Amino acid sequence: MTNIALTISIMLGTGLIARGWNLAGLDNFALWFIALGIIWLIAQYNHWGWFSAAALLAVILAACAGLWLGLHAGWLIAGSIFSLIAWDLTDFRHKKLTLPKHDLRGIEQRHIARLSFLALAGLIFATLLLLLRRQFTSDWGILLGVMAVNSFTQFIFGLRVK
Amino acid sequence: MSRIALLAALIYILIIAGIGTLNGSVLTLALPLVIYLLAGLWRGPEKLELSAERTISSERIAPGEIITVSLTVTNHGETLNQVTFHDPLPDFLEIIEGSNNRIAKLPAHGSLSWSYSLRGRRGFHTFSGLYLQAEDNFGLVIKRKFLPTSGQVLVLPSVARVRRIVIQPRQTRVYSGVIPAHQGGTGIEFFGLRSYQMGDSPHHINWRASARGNSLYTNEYEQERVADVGIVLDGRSRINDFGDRSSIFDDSVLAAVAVSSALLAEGNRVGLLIYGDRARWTSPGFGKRQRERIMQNLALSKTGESQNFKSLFIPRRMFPTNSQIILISPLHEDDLPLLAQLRRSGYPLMVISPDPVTFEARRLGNSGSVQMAARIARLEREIMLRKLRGLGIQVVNWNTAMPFDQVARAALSRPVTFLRAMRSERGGRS
Repeated sequence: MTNIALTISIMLGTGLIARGWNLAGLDNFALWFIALGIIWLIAQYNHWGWFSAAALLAVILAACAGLWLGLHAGWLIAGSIFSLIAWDLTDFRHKKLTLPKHDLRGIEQRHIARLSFLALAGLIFATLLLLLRRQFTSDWGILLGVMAVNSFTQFIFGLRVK
Repeated sequence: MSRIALLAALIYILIIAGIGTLNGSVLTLALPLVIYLLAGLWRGPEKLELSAERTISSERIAPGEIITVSLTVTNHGETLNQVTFHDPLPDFLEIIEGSNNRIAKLPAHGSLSWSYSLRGRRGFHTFSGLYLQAEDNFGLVIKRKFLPTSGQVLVLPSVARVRRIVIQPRQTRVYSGVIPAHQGGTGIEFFGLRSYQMGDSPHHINWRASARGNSLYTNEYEQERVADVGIVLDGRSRINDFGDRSSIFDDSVLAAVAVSSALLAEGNRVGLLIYGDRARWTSPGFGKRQRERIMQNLALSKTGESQNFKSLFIPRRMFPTNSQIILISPLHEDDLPLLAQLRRSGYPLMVISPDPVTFEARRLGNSGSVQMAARIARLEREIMLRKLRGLGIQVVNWNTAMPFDQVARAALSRPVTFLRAMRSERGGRS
């Protein structure tokens, strides 16, 4: 489950940043972020744990630069949130190797549920910002809705495993 | 760089960039990171006040026997949101059921108990304590502590039952046993005749010899007594250990257990010297208590390489003069001079040598080159063993694929002279 969540987070993290830059017509930069995402996935496959920290730093700096340039704030903040989750899951996946097998499912479920809520909280803040800037779009609404459903599903599963 | 430091650095960068550019969106970008950091710190561990207790179902077990280790950890402080416990185990112990690791939430003044089952190979382990790591939900604040516990487990070596090992030391002790003492007296085997003396049992009068002469003769029987035996177990890693972490030393230990048990059961006084990384000496003694001491020392024995024991090491002062010495070693050609010197000094010497050539060849497979190399090595070893036999040393070349009790029954259960006669008779018939 962690591996699936990690892969999705990396794809969303770099993909949303690329989308933010792509919307401003900066396609070359968008391609660079997609390339970063692919390398990040390869790094995870090869268990290069250090790469996540470097990738998170790169994504945060790219989002910061994008916001300074006035690009779409929602995608950039969402990209940063999912990169943060990917960075956390990389560490969690490494830690999982040392954990006792019989406790693993519950721990994994609770950890992912916590991260889902964190992502939802971050997205709510980003939504407030978008509403203030009047940049709220339907695709942003879909992303927020999907994350809300996911968070509550994880919460319910977390309770069941407990 | 720790995770919390990276996160803090990113937050600082974003806040400074936001203030520097007067851009609220950049500050908003810092918010998810701040939420993540605060969520971690909110329920992070503070002071670790815990104690642990351990119970072990048995502290002394045979190989393959299962023991249960039960652990109880009590939290005397605040609630710990996520604590990971790790009970370190050595290589020779294998977990059968449960886990030596545990992760849990420990409420304030609450406790946690769990157990796991183990079995092991030969060895000794002291359970010094538990390692614990307490952390927040996101692993940002980590605190570690070592909780001392008591407990130990001794896994005794495997036992091969050998009924009898015939030795012929030059000198015996005064106590009666099973070793022919080359002296007339009470016993079972006929030893000789002597003139009848008052008090001799009429049952022992040799009537046939008495009829031939003019006086009465009495049968004398060979006295059987106990002897001093010194067992030397060679644990030099350069001749015991092979690549891929395999070692013939465990076979040597098995032989040492079998030989010492058989000799002690016959009432002999047995001492043991093990040398590998260091010398481990069990002073000579009798009986079951001595067997237990020897078993414990064999359980602790390991191969090693000490500068002091590059060559074979048999300290003569540790063994009484003329006592039987039994060397258990895969042997190396360099050992020959020392063994020859020992033999010249008058020590009756027996060498039980687990065959390292067959052992390694079996492990390496059946390719042509391996077979050729094994054949050459086997020839070299045979030459070495012949030299030893030529020196009057009794040598048992043990192919470890065969059980030791079978080998011992064939090669050690009768006197050497008897075995030699049997061999020559078979040769004559063929």
